[in-house]
Amino acid sequence: MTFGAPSASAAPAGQAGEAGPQRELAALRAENAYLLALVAQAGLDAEHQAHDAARGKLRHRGELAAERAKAVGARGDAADAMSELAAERASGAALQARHDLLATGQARLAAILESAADFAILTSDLDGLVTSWSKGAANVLGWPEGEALGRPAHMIFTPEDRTQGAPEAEMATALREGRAEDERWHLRRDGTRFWASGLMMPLRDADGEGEPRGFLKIMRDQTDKKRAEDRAELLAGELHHRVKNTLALVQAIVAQGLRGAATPAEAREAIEARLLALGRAHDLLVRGGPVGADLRAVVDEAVRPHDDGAPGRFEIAGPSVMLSAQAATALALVLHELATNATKHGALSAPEGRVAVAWTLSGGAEEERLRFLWRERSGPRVEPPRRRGFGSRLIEGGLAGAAGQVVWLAYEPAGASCEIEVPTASLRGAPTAEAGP
Amino acid sequence: MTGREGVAAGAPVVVLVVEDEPVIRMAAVDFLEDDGFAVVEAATADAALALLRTRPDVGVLFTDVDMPGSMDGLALARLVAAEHPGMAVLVVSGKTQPRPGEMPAGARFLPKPYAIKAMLDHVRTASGAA
Repeated sequence: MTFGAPSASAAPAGQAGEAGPQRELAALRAENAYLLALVAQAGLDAEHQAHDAARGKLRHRGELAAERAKAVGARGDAADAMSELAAERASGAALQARHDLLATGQARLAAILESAADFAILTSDLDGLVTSWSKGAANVLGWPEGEALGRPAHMIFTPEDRTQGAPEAEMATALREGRAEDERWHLRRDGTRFWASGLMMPLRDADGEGEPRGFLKIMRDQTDKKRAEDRAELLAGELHHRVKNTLALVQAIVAQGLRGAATPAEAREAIEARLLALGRAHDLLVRGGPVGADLRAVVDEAVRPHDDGAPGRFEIAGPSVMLSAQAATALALVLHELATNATKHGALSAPEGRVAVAWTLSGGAEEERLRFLWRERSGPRVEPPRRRGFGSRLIEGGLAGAAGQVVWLAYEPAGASCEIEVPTASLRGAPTAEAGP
Repeated sequence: MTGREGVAAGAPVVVLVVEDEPVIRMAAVDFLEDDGFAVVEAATADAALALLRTRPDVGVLFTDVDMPGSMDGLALARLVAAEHPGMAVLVVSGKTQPRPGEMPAGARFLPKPYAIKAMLDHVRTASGAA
């Protein structure tokens, strides 16, 4: 509507008498009533959203129309009638504008709901029957809108939670406290589970007052995040366990070192050497990642400090075998004792002494066994030790954590030898998942 | 023969040490022997059960929890307590304390690492009560 239109028609209408404006007034009133009815029909939710914006614009338009009408009245003979007419026309147009705005608001709300593809947004009545179901709800939960509407919303809960009354408890909490958090496993239509992080609120009339008409629920699939958190927790527990075990091991090494030593210096040397061997095994584990370390690397690392660089000192051969952290640590300690013995009394104490370290795998799959051999030769003639010392006992104890192993330690005159035969399955250790408390 | 009879007769109480880590097992064995106990050892629960069948004179079960094999130390403790009601049971672990019901009635728990003196005190008290 422009300012010129009503004023141009006002002069002839005024000259022609009252009939014309009266008819036009009645027509406008009827149009007004129709628009009012339209507005009343527009959805309550949409009205709530569009309310503020519309009110601001309406006020502005109404004032504008009144000013225009005032201007018309000042100039025309039928000033009062025409100002009323102009005001009503302006208000009729404003109502149309309001209606348009509400429709736009509703469309925008629908677009928001449809675009939130990762969020399941649903409403239910007070009995928990689904009354609306967003596209995100269909994505996350697997039920298409058509199938979900009218069904009990508790279908998305696990049977355990249903038995325990979780859906009812959630609704009760939402009514009582205005919100209920929902962090739990939920069910998709196909029966698979996902970790949902959600919130339920009572759904009230548009003004937010009055009795709740149902519930609004918003939830996301947070399965990946949940799994990552569970894994972090598991790793922290595993780390705690490993640290405790390592401390117990260090304590035993220290206690044994002090117990078996003739002098404090001897104790210190023995303890140090074992702790350093343990430390090198841990270096390998850090490089090898959480799975463990390769047998070859454990052997190389364990013999390195005992290798004087003379050609052919060590002859190392064997296939790649992955060891668990525990098996790698245990083997490193056993090798340390073997090499220490060899350096003090065996092949490594003579210039021409040699040590062969070899391992083979036999048997298939589940039955596979590792045969690990340490054999010294070309060293001094070997006398069996008079006393079974810590080293020998540790070697004969074999690899910690390895079930079903057999260990032979022999002090033949030609050279000491040690053989460990063990199922490879027991060297891989328990999977991390089983390492809970 | 039970542990109590062993004590009464003046013979050393026999302790079965079940621990898969050789270094830790050796330390426990040596310090228990130094303290006057007779000690037998096993690296797994399965080996411990096999040993118990041939050694009815064992009076105290001293077991770690986390071990390879068909059962852990808690399952071993429950089984042994059920089959040998007179046996004293001491459970040690670097993991969290067992929940109620995981340990047999009357069993004692010691977190790892443990002070050797505390360990010896526990075994002494346990064997006296066995």
